[in-house]
This record gives sequence, C-alpha cells and structure tokens, in this order.
Amino acid sequence: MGWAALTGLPGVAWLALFVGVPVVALVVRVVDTDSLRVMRTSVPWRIGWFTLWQAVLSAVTTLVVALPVTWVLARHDFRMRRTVRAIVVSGFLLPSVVVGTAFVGLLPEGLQRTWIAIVVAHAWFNVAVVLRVVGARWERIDTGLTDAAALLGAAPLRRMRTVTLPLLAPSLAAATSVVFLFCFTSYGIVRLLGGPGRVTIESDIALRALQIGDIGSAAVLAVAQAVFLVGVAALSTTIGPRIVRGVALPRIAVRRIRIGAAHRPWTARTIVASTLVVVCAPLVTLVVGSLRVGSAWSLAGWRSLFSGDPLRGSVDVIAAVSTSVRVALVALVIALVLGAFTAFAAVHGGRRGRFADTVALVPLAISPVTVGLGIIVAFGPNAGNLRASWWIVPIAHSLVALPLVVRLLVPVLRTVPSGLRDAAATLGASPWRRLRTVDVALARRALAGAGGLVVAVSVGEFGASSLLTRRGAETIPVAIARLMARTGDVLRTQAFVLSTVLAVLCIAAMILVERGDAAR
Amino acid sequence: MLHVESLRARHDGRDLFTNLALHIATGERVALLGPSGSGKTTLLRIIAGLEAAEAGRVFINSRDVTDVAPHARGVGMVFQDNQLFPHLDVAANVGYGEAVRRLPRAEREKVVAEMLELVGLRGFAGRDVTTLSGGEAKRVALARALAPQPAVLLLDEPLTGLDVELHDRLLADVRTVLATRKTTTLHVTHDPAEAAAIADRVVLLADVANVARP
Repeated sequence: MGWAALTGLPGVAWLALFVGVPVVALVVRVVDTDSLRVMRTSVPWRIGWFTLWQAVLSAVTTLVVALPVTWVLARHDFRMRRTVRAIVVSGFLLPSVVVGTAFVGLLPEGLQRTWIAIVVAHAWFNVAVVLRVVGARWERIDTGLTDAAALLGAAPLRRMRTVTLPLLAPSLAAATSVVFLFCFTSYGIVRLLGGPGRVTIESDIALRALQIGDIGSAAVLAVAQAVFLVGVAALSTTIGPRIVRGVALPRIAVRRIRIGAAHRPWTARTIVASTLVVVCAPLVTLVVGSLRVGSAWSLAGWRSLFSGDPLRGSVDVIAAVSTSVRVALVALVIALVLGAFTAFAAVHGGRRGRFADTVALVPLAISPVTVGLGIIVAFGPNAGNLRASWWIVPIAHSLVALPLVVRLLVPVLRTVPSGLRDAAATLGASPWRRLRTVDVALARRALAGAGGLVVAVSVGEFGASSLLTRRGAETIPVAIARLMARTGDVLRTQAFVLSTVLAVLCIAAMILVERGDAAR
Repeated sequence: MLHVESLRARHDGRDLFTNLALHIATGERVALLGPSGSGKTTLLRIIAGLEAAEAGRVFINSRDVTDVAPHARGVGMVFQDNQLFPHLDVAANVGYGEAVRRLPRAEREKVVAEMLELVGLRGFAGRDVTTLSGGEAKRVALARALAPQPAVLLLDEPLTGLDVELHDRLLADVRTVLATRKTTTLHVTHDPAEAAAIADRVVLLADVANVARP
C-alpha cells in the first residue's frame, strides 16, 4: 500500500470506531430486545406520517419561497448584489436552535407549536440551499435561449415553463431532495417550535432516549429512519435521473442585466426587498428579544451573561459559552487533522484512498441524534463508560464535521499541480516534508476555511449534543433549549441572549469558511 | 415591412449609433454591413424587442412596436450561436413557435416536415440537437425561425464560425430558402461577399446612422 493511501487510515479507523461500532450496537439492540413491540403500536406510524408530510410540504414551500429571489440574483446585476446574496445564504449557516428560538420570538402565540411554525421555519432555513444549487445552474442557462423562445411567440410564463424550468430540472430535483432530507431529520427546529404535540421521528428518538429512558424503542426508530433514508437516497440516485432528464449546459460567461434595464425592474426590486425583510425579521427579533424582559426594555439578560451569577432554574451562561468553545477547539483539531489526511488519501491514494473518501461520507447519511444514541448504546458502563466522558461531545462533533471538511479540501488538493511535489522530491524533500511544504502550504486558505466550518458546526450542533451532554456541562445550543423549555420572562430573555451570541460565533466562523471557499 | 427611425443605442456608457433610419419593403432582403462592435447585433436586438433603444421608434407593417414585448412583435431571428433548446429534439425545436400558437399536433408535424425539407434536413426530426454538426444546427435554427412565418426575419451573422466549404454551401442554401419564402429579411454581417450573395440590397451602417468611432 502506498504511503498516500495510508494517510486515509486514521479517518477510516476513527469512523469505524465511533460510527461503525455504534451503528452495529444499535442494530444488535434492535434485534436483541423486545423493543420491536413499539412498531406494533400506532404511535411511530403516526409520527412517521407527520415527519413525511411536513418534510414534503417544507421542501415545496422552500422552493416556492426561494425561486423568485434565486431568479433575481442569477439574472440581475445591482449594487449590493453580493451583500444581498450573503445575507440570504447566512440563514442556513445559523444553528437550528437559534432559528427555532428566533421564530418563537417572531410568530404570534397562536401559530407557535403548530405544523405551520415548523414548515415556515424550515422554508426560511433552507432558502439558501435552493439559492446555491439552483442559482448556480440558472446562471449557466444562456439568456439567448429565452430570447429565442420570446421571438417564437412565448410569453414570460410560457418561457419559464417550456425553457427555463426544464433546463433547471436537475438542480430543482437535487435541491428539493436535499431540503426534504434536511426537513425529514430536522431536530432543533421541531424541538423548539413543535413542542410536545408535534413530534417527528428524530425528535421522538431523542425524547424516548432522554426523557423516558426507553433506549430500545429509540434504537428501533433510529434504525427504521436510517433504513428509510437510505432507501430514499437509493431511489433518488437510480430512478431520479430517469424521471428528470438532465441536459449538460455548456460553460458560458455569466450574463446579468442591470436591474434598472430589466423589463420589470420593480418586480425584481420588490422580490429583493421582501426577501430581505423575511430573512432579517427573525434575526432582528432575536436581538430585540435579548433586550426585553416581558414587555419592558432591559439589559438584565446581557448582564447575567457577564455576571456569572446564574438565576434559579437557569443555566450557567458563562459555563455554557466556555464549554462550547472548548468542545469546538477539540473537535477542530480532530476533524481538521483527520479530514486533511483523508482528503490527501482521496486525491493521491488511488483506489484505497477513494475508499477512505467514501467512508468519510457515511456520517452525512446518519442523523446526529442517531450518532448520539449509538454512542450511548455502544459506549456504556460495559465499554469504559466513554459516553459519560467530557470528550465524547467533541468526538461526536468531529464525526458530524469530518465529511464536510473532506468535501471542502478534496477539490482544493486536486488543483495542486503534481509537478510541484515531484520537483520538491527531486530537491530531496521527504514525503512528509512535501506534504507540509507543498500541499499544506498551497491549501492554507482552504484549511482555514475548513477550520471555520468545523467551529461553526460544533458550536451549533444540537442533535448529538442533546443526548450526550451531561447536566452542568451544557453546550450553548443545549442550554438554549433548556431555557426555552421553561417558563419565565428572564429565562426566555437569557435564551435570546445566548442565541444572539451563538449566531455571532457562527457568522464569524463562516466568514472564515467563505474566505477558504474563495481559495478554490 | 420594417421601418426604424431616429434610433439611438448606447453600450458601456458610449453611443454605438445615433439617428439610425432604415426602411425595408415587404419581401425585400437587406444586408447591413458594419465592422465588429459597431452595434449591428444591438440594432437587431432592439428591433426584436430584446433590448430597449435610448431613443427612436420601430414599426413593423406600419404598427409602432417600440413598446411591444418581444413575443408579440412577429419577429423571427437566427442567432449567431443558434440558441437551439438543448432539452428538445430537432422537431420540437422547429415546432416550438407553432406549439406556442397551439397549432394542432398533425398540422404542427406537417409544418416541421416542410421546414426540415426546405433546409435539407429530412429525417432529422427525432435527432438530439446537441449531437448536430455546426452546419446542421444552423439549418435547424433557420427552420425554427421561419416556421411561424414571421413578418420580419433577422439574421445575426448567421454564417460566422463555419469552415469555408460549409460556409459557401450554406450561403447558397440560405439564399434559396429566403428567396422561396419571400420573407422580409434584415441580415447583419461584416462580410461583404456574404451580404451581396444573400441580399437584394446592401447598406452600410455608416450610411444609415451616425456611427461612433470605436
């Protein structure tokens, strides 16, 4: 085995230990106990049905909300275009708990704890997915094609239906299925906005494991959900391309018209303005909420952040921030080192390296709550009680972040000319030195970007953390969820304060990612 | 017929041309000659309604269409880079305009067959347009533009980028097709030989407008 392929080993070993073993433990648990009884009751089927239809409705709503602004940004040029795009995309970068908290503040009482709240928040959260996936293809559709259709007599709606939408079809299908999967396994938003009455499979798994202590039926639901999701993914890759025939679009110079010169400038301007209002409203609500206690303006929430004097029934805010930062730093080291090695193996390690690359994708297919549950089952008292250790939270975060790091680094490493490494070798550089002075040096910005991504993922991670965090050592998202679950104006204000802090942390980390992305 | 008057166009903050006036009689084929970058394509896009002029008016069959949307002007155009719909086959491309007009399927198929015959592409109906050669794609683009019987046909450097042999063969065929259909045609090109071969009358852009020095 070449040494380049060997660099893929640590990542594979890490995933085998902390994803493979827990998944096997879950399956064994399902087969081994009488947990399957739960499937003979109507409860999981009712929850499964709700999970399915809310995910379908959320995906369709996201598409309807996102397409107009995607059209404007793909086809029009105006001052602040990049800023508007960054603002719209930023929604997706926020942790789900922050989004959930913001919508609790924004939506009227009557809408909270309803499916409408969940669908609205899902659509808000996922607009960025459509913007990125569909927008990238829309820009590449030559405007000459719609011009040609117009000159053949097609009015705007018909041009959209017969030319633009068929050419967008592959990206529409891809974006819709990604949004569907996100909404199907969505956890933070459902926990905060659904309340006890509106439960999805993912939140029910956590509920059973955390509050009822029924690990067996939680394992059954986790395995059932994983099987369903793998089935959906398999269907979409086999049957999907047959239903949606994708046409390869030629590479063209992207042409956008000045918004003032467009046929309907006010349509485009209205879409941009209303999108900005919709995107910013929850964020503004968050900040305003952090400055109000009940109906009065107050800095009490922010003061408690700095005073280190937790209120009765509250959480120690400073401790939560410090835990999150420490957890993120450990996750950063693990995910970045393993991710860089795996990406190097994927690019230079031949068949074995590509195997490591594929293995690194596995955590994407398993929901964070399932990862957490698997760890609880696999690493209990009989296995060193690792699940009770502080280290298990950053380990879980590294699993969630690893595939993203690898995906970010692989394309960058591919662009490093192999001649440079050969030149370094002829100058006497050892393989390790070549890695350090050529690959790492040239991928520096991308590594910084990947680092930002790990930090953003870690500080916002809620699914695995909610199962693995010990009382008294909460991360920020877990602390927010605890505060939001209780009654009392001051506690709610503290939740808004923590959410604002978390949003700022994530945005700061993601600015690093954008810079790394620009390095590609 | 096509009539434009006092047309002014700008690009990147400078005037391309001002005070452009042009009149083409019904059934007449006119070639407009001008160097690259002089605003010939912009003129066609203004006539088609794809771009707005800074000033001036466009008339088609005596109707002022200056503020009419492109799909309602009755103008056909063959683009320099064809712009065939990549997701539709040859027949669906050629029949697109007829489908928009909701022509019954049988009639549409008849028109498509006639047009393919006219441009020498019999048997190409089911072909994927992304597999066509440069010359074949150009013929499909011409057939597609002619099928709805436009009041005015605009040709934007239609033979650019073809090799010499293909260029000459296609030139002869385009001339024959246009003569057969008697379509009012404005053909812009920078090639004087091509202009003379296709058109009844050749005009220089500099003779019909005040042209900015590039």
